Amino acid sequence: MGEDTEPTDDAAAGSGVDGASDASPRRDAAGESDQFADLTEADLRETFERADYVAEDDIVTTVLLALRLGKPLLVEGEPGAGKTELAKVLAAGLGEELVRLQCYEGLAAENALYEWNYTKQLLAVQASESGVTEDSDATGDGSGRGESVFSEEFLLERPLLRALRAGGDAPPVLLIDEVDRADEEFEALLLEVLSDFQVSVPELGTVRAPTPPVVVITSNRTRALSDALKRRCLYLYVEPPTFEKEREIVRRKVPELDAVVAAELCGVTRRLREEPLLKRPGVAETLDLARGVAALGADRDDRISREKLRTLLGTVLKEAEDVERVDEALLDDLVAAAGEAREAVAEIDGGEAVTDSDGVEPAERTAGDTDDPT
Amino acid sequence: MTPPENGRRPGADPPGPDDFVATRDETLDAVVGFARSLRAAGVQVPANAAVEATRALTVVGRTDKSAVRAAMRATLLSRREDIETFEDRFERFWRELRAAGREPPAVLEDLADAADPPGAGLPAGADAADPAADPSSGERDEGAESDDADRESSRPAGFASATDEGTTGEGATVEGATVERARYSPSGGSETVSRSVTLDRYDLAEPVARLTDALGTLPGRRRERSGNGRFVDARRALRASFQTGGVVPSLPEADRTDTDVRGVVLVDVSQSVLDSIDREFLLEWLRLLVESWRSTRVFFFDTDVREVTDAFDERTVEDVTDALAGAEASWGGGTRIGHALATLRREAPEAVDRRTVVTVVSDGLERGDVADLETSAAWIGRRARLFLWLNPLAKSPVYEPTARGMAAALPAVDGLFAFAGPADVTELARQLERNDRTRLGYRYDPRRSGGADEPSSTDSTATIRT
Repeated sequence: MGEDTEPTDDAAAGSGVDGASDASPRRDAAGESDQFADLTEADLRETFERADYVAEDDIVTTVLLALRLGKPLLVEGEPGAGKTELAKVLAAGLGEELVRLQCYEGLAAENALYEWNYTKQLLAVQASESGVTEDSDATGDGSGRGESVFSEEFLLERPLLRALRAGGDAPPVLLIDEVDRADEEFEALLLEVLSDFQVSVPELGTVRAPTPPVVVITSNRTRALSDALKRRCLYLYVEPPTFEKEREIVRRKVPELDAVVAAELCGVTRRLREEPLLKRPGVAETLDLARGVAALGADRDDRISREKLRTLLGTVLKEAEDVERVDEALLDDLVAAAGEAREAVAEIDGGEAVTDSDGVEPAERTAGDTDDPT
Repeated sequence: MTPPENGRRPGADPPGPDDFVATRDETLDAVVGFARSLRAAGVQVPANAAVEATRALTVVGRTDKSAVRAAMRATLLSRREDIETFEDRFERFWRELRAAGREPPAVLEDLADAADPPGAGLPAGADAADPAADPSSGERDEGAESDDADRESSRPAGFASATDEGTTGEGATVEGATVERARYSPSGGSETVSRSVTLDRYDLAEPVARLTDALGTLPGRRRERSGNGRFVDARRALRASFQTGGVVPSLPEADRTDTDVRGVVLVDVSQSVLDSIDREFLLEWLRLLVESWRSTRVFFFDTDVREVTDAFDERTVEDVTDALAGAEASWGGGTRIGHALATLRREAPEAVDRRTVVTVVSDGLERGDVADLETSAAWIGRRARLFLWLNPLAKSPVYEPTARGMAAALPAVDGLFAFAGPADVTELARQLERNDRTRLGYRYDPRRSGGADEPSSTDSTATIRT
């Protein structure tokens, strides 16, 4: 790492940058990361299984490719399709730290990369009036007078820098969430980070990731991303789940709910998605609904009633206009759809579904479940 | 840890260690070709995508179809909108990849496509249309033959015979059947323009020359008298001065006549149009327009628009076909006319100005949003010198523009004309020569009025006007 830091820069020498000084970035000329060279599709699938993440084959293959080729993964899809969850599961499954950068309009470099702790700097200068020099090229003569206020001590790491420096044996998973919300300037900043996995801090030198982080970028497609960014990424579009897949997700995430009732609820959301709603319910909403029903207590033979559905609408519909749209006729339709789904599932699975859902051990990650797939 | 040359993951189906190396060239060809064909179809494929795709193949191997599909999707695509196009083409790519470029099926298929172009893109579900398709293609061949015969005889006679053909009862029923058969193009599934379409030849030079003369939107070399022209008409001044003993009382002026044409031609190459028009005729007509107009831009559209002007910069239809094939132009997909016009408006607004003749060749069987079509057509109607719509279906004597796309565009269009053969080009030229812009269109086509107009009378009109 010595060649990466400025020669005059003793501040950097004592910083976290140093920790990785001998490990040159672990990527060969082709940019392939050997970190995951022995990772197989089966391993990855098992990882997803363990985390109760229901992933289709193409998702597994694409994630594997991203890991093997060492490229960022750009995930797009409807809100609530489980994009963020994918990164979380990946971090948990690979046993790595998850560094999350939530994008928003006006997100600037200092919130994403690093900041100097100005207050602390000021206090430090005041505390030892003449004892602290402001420039970084002090020679550090051991008298304690050469300390710079631009040293590690005063650096506030923000997600991107943290992800780059957090390396070690297990590179972190860097989740850049909803990148479409950030401005285009921020995309340009990302380009530098994503192509070389390095960042220049003028006072400290260049920080390069010892092992490139696994990068997952999610986008809700509210605006088109720049070609340059897309070119650097592998693309994954998460399809809205099929009825079967959704049922499976509910079954795994809300194991306390009976399989037939879960099917009923999936039938309800499936029917709701056909309506021209402002905000269509995603999987996350189905899960909310399922948890709501579970909290109220639902029996296997207890068909969902209109009253119950009406009280629970708030878990699925998040816009006042959408809630208003649900009139008596639609409510009838929803109940009918629920009944249909119940019968279809009861027919296929019979009693088997019950044992199945009972067989699943209570979710280990119930805490993590509450904030998931959006 | 990285496996040697073919970094296949250990758990993959082992297609033999040398498999990838052995077929490397073919694989590269297939991947690059696939990326190009996606690009040609309007998919936004990143510039380095083919390289990434090939690298991805070394990881997932080439034996597992769904893995290959996921790898290709991840590397070649960057927008959700493109997924459908991708899926349409993936099967073909998969075959090529499996065949590793050596097996004959793909080649044979191309040949089969070339041998039977009109039906090639029809889905299997269109069985009902097949019996009807036969008479129509027979009818078209017959028309072509009679055109061949016409060329040997004189032009007016040819025109008369074409008129006859259109007005006979038999012709009418056949045409009627054709109209009833008109159906919307299936979405997707367009085919690359095949290199070897050679059917009949059309002599369009004269009709197109007449058309060019009649259209004239740009000042050419010829000069004509003018009240306030840019040039002094020296010859006329000299001649006039003889009467006044060498004094020039007033300077006659001249200006350039409009003899050149600037045009934009938008050709609907959806399946429904290609089924009702002869491709050879269409290409020859376009080639001549590009050749004889001052500036012509040709766009093909079905579900997407692409400019193909460069391909028509050739001497013969064969060369044009080759050039189109070389440019990987495709045809025979679904129809989104509104989208096409809107794209033109958005991406090449400079193509249409007040000296431009905009010609749309389409059957008006819109599958996209009709409101789009209406706005964009209105924009062209306001902006262009002349907005012509050539509709292959309008060759039927009983045709009325009732298709919702056609009906939406009609108010903006200056003239809606039949378009199925050289006779139609002649008729178009004839109407334009009358220089009466209020009475243009299929309604004023004398061949249409069910025999009320005697062929001879049309004939004479044409001659007088010429």
